[in-house]
Amino acid sequence: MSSQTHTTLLDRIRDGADAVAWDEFWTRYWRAVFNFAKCRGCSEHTAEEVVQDVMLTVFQNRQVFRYDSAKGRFRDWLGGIVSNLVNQRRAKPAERVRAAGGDGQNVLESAQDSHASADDAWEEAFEASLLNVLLDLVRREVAPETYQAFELVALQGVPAGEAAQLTGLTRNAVYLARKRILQRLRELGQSYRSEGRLLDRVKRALASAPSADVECSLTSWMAQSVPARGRACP
Amino acid sequence: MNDPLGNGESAIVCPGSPPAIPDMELLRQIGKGGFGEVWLARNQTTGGLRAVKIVPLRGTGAVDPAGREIVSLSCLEQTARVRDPNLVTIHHVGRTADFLFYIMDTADDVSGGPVSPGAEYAPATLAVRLRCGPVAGDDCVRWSNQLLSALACLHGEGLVHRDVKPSNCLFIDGQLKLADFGLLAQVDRSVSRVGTLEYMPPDGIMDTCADVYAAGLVIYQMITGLPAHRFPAIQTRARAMLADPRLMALNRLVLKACQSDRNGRFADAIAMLETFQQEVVDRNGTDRVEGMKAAPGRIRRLFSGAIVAICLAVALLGGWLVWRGLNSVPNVDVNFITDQFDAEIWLDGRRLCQPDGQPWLTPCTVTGVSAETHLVVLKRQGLEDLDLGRIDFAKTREVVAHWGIDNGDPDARP
Repeated sequence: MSSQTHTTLLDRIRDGADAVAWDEFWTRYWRAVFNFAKCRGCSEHTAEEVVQDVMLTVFQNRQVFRYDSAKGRFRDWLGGIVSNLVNQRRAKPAERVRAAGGDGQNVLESAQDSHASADDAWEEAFEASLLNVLLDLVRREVAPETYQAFELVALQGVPAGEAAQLTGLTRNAVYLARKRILQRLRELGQSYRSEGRLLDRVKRALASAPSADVECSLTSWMAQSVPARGRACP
Repeated sequence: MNDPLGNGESAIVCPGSPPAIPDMELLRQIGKGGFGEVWLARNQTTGGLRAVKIVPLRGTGAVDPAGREIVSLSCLEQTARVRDPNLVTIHHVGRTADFLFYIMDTADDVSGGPVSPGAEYAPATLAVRLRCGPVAGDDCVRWSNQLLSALACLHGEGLVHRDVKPSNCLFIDGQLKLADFGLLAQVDRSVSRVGTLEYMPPDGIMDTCADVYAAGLVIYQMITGLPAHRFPAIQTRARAMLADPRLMALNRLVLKACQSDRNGRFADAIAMLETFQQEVVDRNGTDRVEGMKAAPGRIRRLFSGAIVAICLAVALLGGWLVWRGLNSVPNVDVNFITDQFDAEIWLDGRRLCQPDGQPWLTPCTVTGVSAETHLVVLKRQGLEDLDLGRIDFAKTREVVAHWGIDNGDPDARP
């Protein structure tokens, strides 16, 4: 998967009724938006609302955006929308209190301080989201015991012997699973030019992944919302 | 029972007042699915509470849900032997001018209390239970057994359920029971691709293998607390699973049941139940599953045969080990791990090769190394040979070696 949003996907989402394209778009970017909102001081609840706002804004502006690499990346355009919406949310007094558990100002300030800029935070959230998508792709490509062995040894730090017991593989096969999946991740993400070891970045991305409850709630909202609006469009 | 809390889409069966069902007073809707609704109802003669599923006789468009339901219920009726205690009992099937209906047992209340006609009653299903996270080890084992027993019974009678999922697993008197036979079909027929997408196997063939796949996902959800689409991720549940041998065995069962390639799965729930009993229950010594019933005849025969075969294998293995002990240096398995992968292993000037002639490459576990002292050299293209000197494999089972190069390759250190 390229780190650049594929032009054909952007073409396809202009058709509001193309549910497959919107599903792909959703899968790629919702985590980035959610994580960015959270690391900018939003509560989980507000971060969910930001995700919904962003998807609806992109939907409403799908005819406006024309990809032109000379003018800038899609990532930056999306980052601009997300940043604006997060700032709007943060400006609401109720959210300031909710985000901070009573002392909103301090939390928001520390959230801002933790990143040199919103741009850095967005880049980090964007990459973590794409790495999660890559991991999902690999998960579907390989045998389940292979993925599980990789997850146990490489991401959870479980000794190979215990991973072998849990998956029914040999220790040798556990090592090979780790190696094979890292190779595959590297192949899929070859266009990345990011600092740090791939494995560390994958771990960070997984650690930042939203919970299953949030995923279910937002995915359900998306399934009932945007494609339905698209179908209603003339 | 599809979507017992009513979160899914549904055909509108009765937009106004409840429909009239002979002898039953419908109290309120407690579930709905794609093609029908489930109501809590009171028997007007005895006052007993029952669940009533109602399906409109006239479907929308080409869909004829009532016709399909009648075919499924007829399948169940014709195989009169299908009387497994882990299948929800259907007490009566009937029809009015507008609806097909059938009367079933009610599920326990989610609170654990008795079924009541009040508004607070909500049916206890596995889907509801899973919202609270992973299931404890004892319950995982007991409920897996009950689910597989129910499915094995259907498969033994040549039937396939085609809609195994947590919301169709009800708790009645604390026992897990499989419900909703609306998609039940005979396994030898050409079965269409129906069911719940999330629990369908990738090949889309809805036969016994598909039921096995879905059951595997349901058990996966029990042991991990994660949604089915996250399979096979374990995430933070790994430590708890590693601490309980039964959960580890259940995980291995799930991995086999949920293979993408149908040939890698259990052929049916009977085979899956057999493995479950051998690997999860019997291996655990004193851990007997509460309420486990006698296995069907075929399982019992196969199980007895398996025990005889295992005893024979153990006896042969014991004899072989004694013979080996008396006559030769024993062989051992040795792990070879290097900070640069893909190194060849040379013992006493000979490259170690696998039975197919391919050289062993690190990291690997080399089997059948004679447990004596060998001169060990590791060779990797582009690097100097690493001479590790003489190593006694009677004492050493793992060789870890470093070329001492750090090129930033994340694969470099196992």
